[in-house]
Amino acid sequence: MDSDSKKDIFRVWRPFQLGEGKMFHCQLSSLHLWVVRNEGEWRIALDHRDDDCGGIRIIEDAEAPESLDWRRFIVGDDGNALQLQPLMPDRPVIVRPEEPITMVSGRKTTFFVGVPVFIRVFAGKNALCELPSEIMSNSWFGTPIQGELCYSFHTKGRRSAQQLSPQSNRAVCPIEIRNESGQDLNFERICLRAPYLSIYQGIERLWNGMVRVTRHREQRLGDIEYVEGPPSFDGASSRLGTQREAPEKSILFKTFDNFNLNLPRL
Amino acid sequence: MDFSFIIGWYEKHSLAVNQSLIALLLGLPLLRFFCHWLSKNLGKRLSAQSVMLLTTGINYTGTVLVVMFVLWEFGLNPATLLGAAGIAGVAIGFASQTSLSNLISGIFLIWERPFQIGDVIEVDAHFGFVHSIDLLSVTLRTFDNKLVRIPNEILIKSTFINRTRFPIRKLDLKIGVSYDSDPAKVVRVLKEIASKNPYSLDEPAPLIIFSGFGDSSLDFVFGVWFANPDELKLRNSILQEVKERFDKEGIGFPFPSRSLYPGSPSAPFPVQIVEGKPQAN
Repeated sequence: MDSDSKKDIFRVWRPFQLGEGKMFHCQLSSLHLWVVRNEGEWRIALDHRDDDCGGIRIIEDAEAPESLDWRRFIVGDDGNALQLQPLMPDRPVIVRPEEPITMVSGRKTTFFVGVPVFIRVFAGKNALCELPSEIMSNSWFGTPIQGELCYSFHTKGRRSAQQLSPQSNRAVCPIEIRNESGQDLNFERICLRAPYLSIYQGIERLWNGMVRVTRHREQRLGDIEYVEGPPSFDGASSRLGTQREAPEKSILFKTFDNFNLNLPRL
Repeated sequence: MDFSFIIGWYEKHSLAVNQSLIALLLGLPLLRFFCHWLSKNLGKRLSAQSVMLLTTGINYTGTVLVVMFVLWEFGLNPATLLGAAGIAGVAIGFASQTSLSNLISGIFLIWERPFQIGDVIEVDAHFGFVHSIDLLSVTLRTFDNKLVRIPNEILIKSTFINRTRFPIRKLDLKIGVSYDSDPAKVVRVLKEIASKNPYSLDEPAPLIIFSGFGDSSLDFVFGVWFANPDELKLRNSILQEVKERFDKEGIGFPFPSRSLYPGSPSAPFPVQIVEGKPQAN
C-alpha cells in the first residue's frame, strides 16, 4: 500500500503491523527509512536524499535499493508491531532568524519555530535506534575554548503558527520573548535546549511546550522558562514524545548559558 | 648444616620478624589493592591523569612507610636512614643527572598540565594519544599503534602541540583554482559547501581568504571549524565535496604550467605548420 498522506501527518507516528519478510518504507521530508522484519530480527536502513516529498510517504510492502547500509537488530520473537516515535534532538539547537530581529522595549511577541525531530524506532517494546529526520548543521555555542556542540538551522521567525506549513517531522516550538530591559533588544540567534522539550500532538501540527524568555533591565542575557505541558495552540494535548532531560532548576545560572541574544553583526 | 644461629636469632627477634612479615605480606598487597580500588572508583569523578598521580603517590608513600616500619622493627633509626639517604641522594644525583632532570621536568609537567591522558599531541616527528604521564617520561600511543616514550626533559625543552586541548579546531585547506575562474563565484561555492557539510560548524563561521596569485593558480585558504571528534569525517567529506562541486560549477584545478615568449611577452608564440612529414634533426 502506497499512501501520500499529507492530510494525516500523524499517521507515521501510529503503530504498523509488519508481516514476516515484509519491508516497510517511509519517507519523511528528505529521510528515507526502510525496515524489514525477519525471524527474530529486524533490519533497518536509512538514507537522506534531496527529493524532499514535503510530507510523508509510506509504502508497507516495499523494495529497497541495493546500495543501502543495513543494521540488524536481534530482538527475539516480540511481535510484529513497528512504531516510530518523535523525539527532540539530543543536543541544543541554535535557531537563526533569516534576518536579524530588533524588538523595542516593553514589547512581547511569540515566534513559532519548526524544529526537525529525531525518530526513535520501536520493534514491539524494544527501542532499536534513533535517527535524525533532517541533517542539521553543527554549530558551536560558546567561545573557542569552552562551549557546547549544538545543531543549527535557519528560520523565518514566523509570528503566527498558521504561517508554518504542517510538517510531520517538525515540532513547532512557541518562543515567547518579552523585552523589559528599557532598551531595544537585538538578536540574531537563540540557543534552544531541545532535550528539555516534549512533543505534543495538535490538530494539524506537532508542538513543543512554550518557552518564555524575558530580558530584564540591566541584564545582558535573558531569563528562560521551559513550560511543562502542551501549549495552548492548535488543540495540542496528547504527548507523543517525552523530553530527554528535565530542565535544570538553577534557572538564573543557566540563563546565561542557555540564551545568547547578540547584536546583529554589521 | 647448623641452623642454631638462625634459630637463636629468630627467637631473639621473633616479634620484629613476625610483624615485619605481616607488614610486607599483608601491607604491600593491601596497598596495591587500595590503589586499584581507588582508581576504579575515582575514575568517573577525576581525570585519568589525576587518578594516576594520586594512586602512584599513595603507592610510593605507602611502600616507603612499610619499608621504614620494617627497618624500625629491626632497630634502625629513621633519622639515621634519612641522613644516609641524603648523603646517598647527593651521590646518586651526581651519577644520574639526566634522570633527575627528567624527574624535575616531570614534576613541572604535572604541575603545569599542558596535556592530559587521552589528548592528541605532536612532539617533533611523533604524533599520537598521550598514553601515560610518568615521573620520568611521557608515553604516546601513535595512530599506527606504536608506543613512543618521550623523556620529560625533552617535553620541557622543546615545543609541542596539543591538538585536542580545546574542543573545536579549524581545518585550513589551501585551494588553487585556474586563472579563468571568477573569485567571487569560488567564494560563494565554498560558503555553500561549508554550510551543507554536516561536520562543518556554522559558528564560528568558515573563513575564506583569497590569499594571492600563484604561479599557475588563484590561491584561496578555506578554513572550516569542526568539533575534535569529527576531524577525519570532515577532512574526507569536504575535500570530496569541493572536487565534485567545482567540477559541477566549471571551476578548474590547474596544474603547473609555463608560458614561453619569443622575445615579446604579449605576442603569441609563433607556430608554423609546414606541409609534408616532420623531419627530425
